[in-house]
Amino acid sequence: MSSKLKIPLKSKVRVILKSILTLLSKPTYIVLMVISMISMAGLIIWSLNLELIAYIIFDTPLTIFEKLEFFAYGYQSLFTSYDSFLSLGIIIFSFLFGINIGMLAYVIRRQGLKSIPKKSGGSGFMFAILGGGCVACGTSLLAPVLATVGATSVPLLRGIGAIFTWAGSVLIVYSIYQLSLLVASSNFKDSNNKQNDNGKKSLINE
Amino acid sequence: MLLAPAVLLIGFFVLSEPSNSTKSLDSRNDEAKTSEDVGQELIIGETSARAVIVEYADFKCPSCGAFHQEAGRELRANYVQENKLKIVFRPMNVIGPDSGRAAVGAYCATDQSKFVEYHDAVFDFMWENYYKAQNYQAEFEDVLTESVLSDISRGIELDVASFKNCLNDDSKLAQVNSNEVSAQNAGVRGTPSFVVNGEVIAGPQPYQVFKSLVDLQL
Repeated sequence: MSSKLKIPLKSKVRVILKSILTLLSKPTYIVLMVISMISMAGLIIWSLNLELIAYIIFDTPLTIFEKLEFFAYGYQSLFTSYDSFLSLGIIIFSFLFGINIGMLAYVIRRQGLKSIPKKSGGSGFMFAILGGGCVACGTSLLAPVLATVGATSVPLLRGIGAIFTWAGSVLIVYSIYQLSLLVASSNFKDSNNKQNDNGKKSLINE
Repeated sequence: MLLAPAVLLIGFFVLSEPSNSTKSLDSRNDEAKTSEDVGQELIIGETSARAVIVEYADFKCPSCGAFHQEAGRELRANYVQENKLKIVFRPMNVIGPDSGRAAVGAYCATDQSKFVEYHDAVFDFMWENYYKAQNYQAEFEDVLTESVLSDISRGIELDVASFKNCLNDDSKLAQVNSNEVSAQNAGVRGTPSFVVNGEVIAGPQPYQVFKSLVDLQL
């Protein structure tokens, strides 16, 4: 639909913002988006320490409250452990991911699963996880991938980690745009249906 | 569509490393003790302290410096000084040739009973001159030269002549290399990494994360 028509950037941004506003007017979607944002940031932050998470959940005598507190401490690392470029990338990606999930849920509820475009954020998610996990020097999910092509420089890996996270954000913006078109179309259908219903009612009244 | 990569990623983690989630706390502590058996150890704190953190770090790694400036300092103030915790420091040669030189220097400073002073001085040097201002270019450069390390050693009142001689001691270099073997055996994939209760922690996590894990050992 969008590939055949050349839509100006301004209009694209307007469509995205209108769709976001539609979601923000519904508390259920706000909650869903916030939960998705927090979960995604947590997944990126803890991605290199999943075994530690399993240990905390299953093998420690901590209370549920203490376990939740432990996970929450991880979020502090966004402001202490990462450099600002990577931190900002992770925060922005998580924010966009929340919006993406909100739109995805909205479109599925209105138009069904079949209406979802194929590129709906999966690759952006992969990019951000691969890049965002690079919290320590050279510690990244990217390391084994890059090692296979002979790239073993730790400083290089740090830079690539940040770039991957930002690339993930770009990809997810594309996904948000695709979904916002569907949100707009379902809103358009809704308003048309309402108008038709009102028209029918007024005809019946007459 | 979105769930597929997530499932793949989680599957990768589950399958890539053997899970040891069924081990008890006791066996984890035993594991930590045996992993210390790598020759001369560099220890911050009392050797008799009950809780142990094994730290794998590179003096040139910015994240290792961040740990030292933040969580490391708090752990030392609240646990090490109270004789509750010892940090077993295993210097690594990961980033560049000068990482190895600085790591060897740590063993040389230990010979003169000044390891902790050396450890703090080298990390502070990198932090104050480069990483505090997020200048990561230093990672690519040979900054911890013999002359810089000598200046640092002079600042902490080491015998500079014997320190300089020691920097070329092959047995010290062998010690650094054995740390790399130990790191690989522990499942360490980068620096800084820590082994606490037999669990590997990647990255300079906030103080509270370490505090929770240390409290479990006490």
